[in-house]
Amino acid sequence: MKKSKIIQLVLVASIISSCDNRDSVPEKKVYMRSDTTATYSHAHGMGLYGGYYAFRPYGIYSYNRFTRAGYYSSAIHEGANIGTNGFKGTVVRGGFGSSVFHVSS
Amino acid sequence: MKRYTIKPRLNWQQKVEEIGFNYHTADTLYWDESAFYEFSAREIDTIDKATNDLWEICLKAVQYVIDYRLYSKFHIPEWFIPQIEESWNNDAPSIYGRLDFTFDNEIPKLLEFNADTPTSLFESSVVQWYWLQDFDHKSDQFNSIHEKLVAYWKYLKEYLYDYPLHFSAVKDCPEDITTTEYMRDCAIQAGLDTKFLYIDEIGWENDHSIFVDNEFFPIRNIFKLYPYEWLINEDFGKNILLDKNRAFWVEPAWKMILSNKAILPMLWQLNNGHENLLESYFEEDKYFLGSNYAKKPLLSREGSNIQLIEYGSVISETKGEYGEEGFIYQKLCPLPEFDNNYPLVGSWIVGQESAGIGIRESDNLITDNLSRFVPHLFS
Repeated sequence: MKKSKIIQLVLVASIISSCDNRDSVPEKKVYMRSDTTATYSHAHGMGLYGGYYAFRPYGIYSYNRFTRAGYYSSAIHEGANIGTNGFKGTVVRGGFGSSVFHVSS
Repeated sequence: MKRYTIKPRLNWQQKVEEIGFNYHTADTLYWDESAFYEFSAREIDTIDKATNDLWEICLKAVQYVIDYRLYSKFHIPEWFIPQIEESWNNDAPSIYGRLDFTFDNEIPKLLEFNADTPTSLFESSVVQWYWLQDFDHKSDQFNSIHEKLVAYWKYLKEYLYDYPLHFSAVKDCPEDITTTEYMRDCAIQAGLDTKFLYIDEIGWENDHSIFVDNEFFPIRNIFKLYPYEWLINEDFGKNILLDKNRAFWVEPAWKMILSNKAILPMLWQLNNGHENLLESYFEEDKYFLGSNYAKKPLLSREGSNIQLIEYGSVISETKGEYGEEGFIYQKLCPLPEFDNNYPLVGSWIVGQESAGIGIRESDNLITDNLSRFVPHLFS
């Protein structure tokens, strides 16, 4: 088979257009925290994939069992997510990505 | 192979943007539909066959490099070798690659293999296909990339862990994000559960020694548009070996061998005289090439730090940051020329088979980051 018959995209066009329009939507000032041990922070951005602030359960999988430890949102500052919660605090980010800004080859 | 100059579609920018292609113009034009290339069916068959043949000998070459532990030729650090060997021995999932061709008397000749982080995927698979529907929908295009990606993700599903497949790219680069999101699109259509996060959002959970996403969910399958040589050059990369979940990284670590230009002399050594290979050597044997050759760094990207030598003189060269890792030397075989345009044919492998082509065209003999993507058809 050397020729595509039909191409349908379920994701790409909407994702890219939402990236482009990200700054055009005026933001309301909302302050939130996802952990009672954390301070409140200004929630920003609607995330790439939807127009709501999602607080998702997080936890750890061990021996094929999930133990819930709290909630997390990517819309608020890391400090407001973590607080003094020991589990969240053991995660280090930003280790990848320092090499360069563009990958093309 | 012929080149035709044509009038671009009216409102072509809007047309390509509607399908999600927003990086058509940078400082200069990148998507160029003021021309197209036409191939004969025989030429397409030749490229198709060359791609499949080369893929087969590439796999044998990986086995050879591993068997004889030739990693130092590739400048691969000792500590990462177990990851490469584990991924090879476990047949870790691989999805794609792009072989770049020039031509010698109409025979495709391999210039290099972008086996780890090939881009221009979305342009090859989707943008030029939509162009053809407008321009001449009755013509053929060597392009079944989309169907093959969806089908291969479907096939790979049972080889992945029963966890979401994460997709990751660098921030602030529309080209890389689009390529990655397009790949995710295909995986979604194949029925996979997916998540996207930027490469710097990948977290390492110290207590359990596992990678987690930005919602603290374990990462067990991850497609990354980020080269291995950068992953392992950053301290965080050491965690790949410590990962208790033994996450599947797509592309797998063994692709480091094929994406490195050291594979070119290795392929020549193992398949001396193969019609789709150019004679290539490491430093110590470069004298076999005489005074006509290309000098290429092992790891250069976007045509950086390449020198083309003809009759002992430099006829073209590019600058850049690469070369410390060493060079290989390849017989000079210039790109074909059409009115001062030099096309490079990128031939895609999806899964285990040839899937279509994309053409990038430059104003000079070295295809660099100013090259233009030009669509094609065949008759």
